[in-house]
Amino acid sequence: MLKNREFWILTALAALGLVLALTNMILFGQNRQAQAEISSRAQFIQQSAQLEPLYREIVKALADLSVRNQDSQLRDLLAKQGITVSANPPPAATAPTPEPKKGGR
Amino acid sequence: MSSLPPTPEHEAAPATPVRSPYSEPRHHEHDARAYSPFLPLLLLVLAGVAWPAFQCYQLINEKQALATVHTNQNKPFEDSGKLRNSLDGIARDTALLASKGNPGAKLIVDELARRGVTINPSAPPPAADKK
Repeated sequence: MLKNREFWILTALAALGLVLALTNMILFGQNRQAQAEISSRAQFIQQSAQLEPLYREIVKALADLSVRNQDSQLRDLLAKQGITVSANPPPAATAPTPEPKKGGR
Repeated sequence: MSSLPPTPEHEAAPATPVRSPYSEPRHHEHDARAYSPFLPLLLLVLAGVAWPAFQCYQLINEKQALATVHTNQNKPFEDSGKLRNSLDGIARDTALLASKGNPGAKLIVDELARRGVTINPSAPPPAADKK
């Protein structure tokens, strides 16, 4: 038979083990959730990085066309997105083709 | 035959009865002592505590590492959301402008369509900044 003190020592240790097991269950669930969120965010960032060249190309094309055609609608469209386009004619260019300058984002 | 002297075998008769070593324990007094179950139970419980404690330590470390990764992702994630919003907005506005007959916007929409990028102007705005 166990003595009184031995019984309580074993009971306390067993209770500690139970608490640790429950803590592990909670931590495991939280870590799985965090891993899933991190994975989805990483996928979102990676996909967005692939879209960046397309975005730059669209903006560049819009700016080119707005300057070349003196298209105020396209300029307003870019301004609505926070992009200002100003035509700076080249200093020694024979052909007066304006170069778009992007900025203000 | 009866006058023969007795052989030593006959003389060396055992004084005590012969006992098999398995018939009766040799140290009977030791087996009668009751062992306390405290030590084996203590070892068992300690093993049952040590393993979850180690797992808990590992899980806490993993949680901290995941939190660091999550924090490091914040800035790129926000930038990505802004980029997507800008791209969607500019694409939608360009498509709307093209549908109104703007030649420049039409050129861009046609070029995108030629590359396999279709714009749906009626699509709802993205909700990428929810997280």
